[in-house]
Amino acid sequence: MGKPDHLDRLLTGLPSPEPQGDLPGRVKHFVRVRRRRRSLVRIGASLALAGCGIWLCTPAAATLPVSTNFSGSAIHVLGDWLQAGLAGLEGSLNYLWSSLTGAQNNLTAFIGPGAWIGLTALALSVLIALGQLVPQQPGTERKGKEA
Amino acid sequence: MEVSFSVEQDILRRAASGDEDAFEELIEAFSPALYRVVRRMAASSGLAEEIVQETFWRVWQALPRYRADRRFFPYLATIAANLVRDEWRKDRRLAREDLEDLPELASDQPPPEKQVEAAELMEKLARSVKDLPPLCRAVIALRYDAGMSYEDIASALDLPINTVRTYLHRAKSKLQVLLEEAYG
Repeated sequence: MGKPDHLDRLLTGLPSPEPQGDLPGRVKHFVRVRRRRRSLVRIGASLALAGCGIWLCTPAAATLPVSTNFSGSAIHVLGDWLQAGLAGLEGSLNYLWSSLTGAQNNLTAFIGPGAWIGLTALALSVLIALGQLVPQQPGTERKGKEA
Repeated sequence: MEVSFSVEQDILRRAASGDEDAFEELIEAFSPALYRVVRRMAASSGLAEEIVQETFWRVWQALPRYRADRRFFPYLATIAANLVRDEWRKDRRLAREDLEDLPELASDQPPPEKQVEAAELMEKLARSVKDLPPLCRAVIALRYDAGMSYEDIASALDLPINTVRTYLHRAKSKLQVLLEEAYG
């Protein structure tokens, strides 16, 4: 960068157009209004998703307790788990895997695709609500162009 | 309101973690200066104010990703310059300026004559800057009003650094001519 010449000095001292009235006040008001509007949109989206989720999940939730029989098998499951644990790590892992795939099959059988979409909608509504409550952590610089 | 770098960093950190009062301190401190830079580039005072408001809104959204180890004003001016350029793009007539339309002049033009009254000269110069093509005006505003380096201006306007130098050189040459025409 070269030495400033006469025109550089003139341009540096150029009279600046001043803002009229209380510009910071108007900017603050603008930001507050936008912030409030964004919050309302997020709350609305969260509620709409929660409503959809509940509506889609209700039929499956109503049939689930009738279709599954957890109460009678609780002691049996605990016994199987203990036996598998005593058989060593491999036995435990095998038992865990078969339990998880069994649970998945049961859920798939008893809960239809509509209920899965409902659960996803519920999860999204919770995430949006949490995003509204929890501020982001500063300092994670975005790569590329500013804003 | 002049803010030291350490105070600026502290306010930025608080604002980035969601402190709305801290963000309003930033607005209080930087909006008048930002307006002056934007007004030099924008076609009207109304548009300049809209751009200043939109800039602060975008900054509020981007603050959690802001790295507070650099000065804040060039960052603000960069966002504002991008918004001004978006406005130019909307107005197709101003979208593309032809560098060749600017007169080629030697860079060693003598300064305006000393007998010219300083106030008159500055007023004339400010009017002449207004008459420059949009990108030249932007380079002048970012360089002299915002005090940004060539590198920062190049990044803000998404131009190669040599193009920024060319724009600045040609803008100054044109201003020199306009001043000489006015004062002989």
